[in-house]
Amino acid sequence: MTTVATKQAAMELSANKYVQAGHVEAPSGTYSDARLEEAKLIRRVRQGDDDALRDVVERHRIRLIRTACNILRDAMEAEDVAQEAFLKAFRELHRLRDDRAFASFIYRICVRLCVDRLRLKRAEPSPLEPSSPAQHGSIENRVLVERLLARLPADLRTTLVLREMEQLSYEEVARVMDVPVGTVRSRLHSARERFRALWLAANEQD
Amino acid sequence: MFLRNSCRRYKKLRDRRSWESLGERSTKFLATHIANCPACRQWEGDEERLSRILRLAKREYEGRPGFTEATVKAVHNDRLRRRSATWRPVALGAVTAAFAVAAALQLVTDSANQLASPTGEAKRHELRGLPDSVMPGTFKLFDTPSQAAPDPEPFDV
Repeated sequence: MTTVATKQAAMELSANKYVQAGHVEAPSGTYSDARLEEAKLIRRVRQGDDDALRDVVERHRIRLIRTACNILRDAMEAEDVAQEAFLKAFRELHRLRDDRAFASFIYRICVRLCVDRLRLKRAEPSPLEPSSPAQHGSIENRVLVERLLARLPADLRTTLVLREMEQLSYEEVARVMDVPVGTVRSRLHSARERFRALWLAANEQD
Repeated sequence: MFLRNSCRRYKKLRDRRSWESLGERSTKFLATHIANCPACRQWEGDEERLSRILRLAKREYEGRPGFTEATVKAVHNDRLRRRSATWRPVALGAVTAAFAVAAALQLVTDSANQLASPTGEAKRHELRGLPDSVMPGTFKLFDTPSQAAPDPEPFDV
């Protein structure tokens, strides 16, 4: 009996770790465990269980905040968006047909909220400050990357971040952004080309 | 021209390699081209450097410590607000309907009472169908004898 309980606890722990690590998809065994655990929690949330609600928020917060932070490049705004994503997800829980798919459901909501925020902001027209990205340290590089990302249109920027920073597959990016895989390919190609041109221009300025 | 075409083909295949495995011929072409084309070597190096820089620029921010509690509280408040937003129009409608019914009942009751014991004034000529010049003034309906006007004094002839 104790062995079974320990085994189950270990499985739950590994499933939680997997979700928190930021994976949308995982190897079949761990993935299905994580999804089953998720389904149980969501069922309890539907019944009004506050502890389950807290568990769900705790499970997903790191992934949502990180992704939002990478897309928006603003920690406070990222927290704001993550919280809004939770509110929207719980408000629209009745639309979720399969409780096991909550992770991708809330992730999609969060990414879309980020894209909406980016669209509301105007592309930064300010000229790039001269710097040498290849020679400076990682902090300067990061600042420059943020400045360059801010110059890309919302869709291109989000696609680039999801693929390069969040390391999602093309199919996952397509699912999250609700576009065909072909669109992801062409957006990623354009995003890379534009980012590259901006990067080279920044280098030349120096 | 040949070089530009093969460079284009190289970039296209290189792009395709990101999402699908290439055949033996294509793989061989990529290897041969990169070995002989300095421009594509440069491009390849830039691509790899950009990917690395983007990955290094990834932020690992995990949020402030009170995030979970604040979010749970926000979810609760949102639920309450939505519940009250749902019930408020219903309650408002119910109260309005209750007032309307009460007002209608009041009107019906008043008019029933008036029919049962009519009071008020009526003009004499309206009752008798005579012109106003002949029968001026009004009289009270159901006046008691004590309240009735005294008989006019007889004219002196």
